[in-house]
Amino acid sequence: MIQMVTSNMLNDTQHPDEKNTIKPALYALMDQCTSGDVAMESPVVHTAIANDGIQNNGIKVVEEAFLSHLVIRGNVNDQDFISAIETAASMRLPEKLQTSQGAHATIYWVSPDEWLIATNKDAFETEANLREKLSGHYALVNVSGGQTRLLLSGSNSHRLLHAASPYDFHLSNFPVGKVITTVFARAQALIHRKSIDEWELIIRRSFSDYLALWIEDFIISC
Amino acid sequence: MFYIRCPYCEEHRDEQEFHRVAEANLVRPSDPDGCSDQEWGEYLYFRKNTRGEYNELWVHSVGCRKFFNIQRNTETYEILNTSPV
Repeated sequence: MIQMVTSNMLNDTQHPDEKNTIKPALYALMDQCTSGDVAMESPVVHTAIANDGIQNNGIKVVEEAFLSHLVIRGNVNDQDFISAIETAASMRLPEKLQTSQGAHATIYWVSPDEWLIATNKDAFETEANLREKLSGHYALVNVSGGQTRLLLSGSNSHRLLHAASPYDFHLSNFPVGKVITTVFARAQALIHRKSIDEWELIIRRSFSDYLALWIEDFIISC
Repeated sequence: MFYIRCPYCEEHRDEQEFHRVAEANLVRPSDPDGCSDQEWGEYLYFRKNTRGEYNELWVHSVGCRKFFNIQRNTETYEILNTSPV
């Protein structure tokens, strides 16, 4: 379903010059979820990471499939932008390299002007709700189909991260709540420390087959 | 390998996360149609490639994806400074 929405509707009787002074924000809202007769499929459906996950020797990886992922960009110095998001999401925007945790969503810091919202609520409704509150110069993109989230846990979970990435994952450098985007098995992943032994990995759909098989290979042989 | 401090993430990261883009502070001629072939060619193709201190534009491509300047010594590989663009 695609809805074309004009947030500032103009009256046809207005003079053309008047119309030019008010710039309506036109955007397309698309519900990317399939309808009932087409099954949704996770990008790692063919690997052991889907469903119950894979576990061995103190490392467990399981996919958290079909979450809604929304990328939001805007100016951090624009108070209207910040308060609009915080009102719509009922959450604070996180500081640099930090996350905010809500009841249904997590907001990850990605870049000084970019954040990722991952929520178990419907992407279409979340996007519509955000767009209703937001105005001015911003970007909001539904990337739910383009990436997926994996949950890595267990007392040896750090060993998988050490093998995959050059980053320092020690607690002194990577406290709970921190998030980074870094190299992961030569591909890319957003890595968030959820608790001491729990990590969230957000990976691209295009790399998910390779990464899932890499992770499986590591866990089986560790 | 370099260990580069991203001025936007404000921490040191491994070189694998970055890509070198070009010499820093290149100024595009304000009137491309009006400049001579030599002027345009020099802007497009010719770089200083200094031995010693050099300013380069890098991008934190696997990370915050921001462009920034690195001032480094091409002889000793010492990184003198990184700054936002």
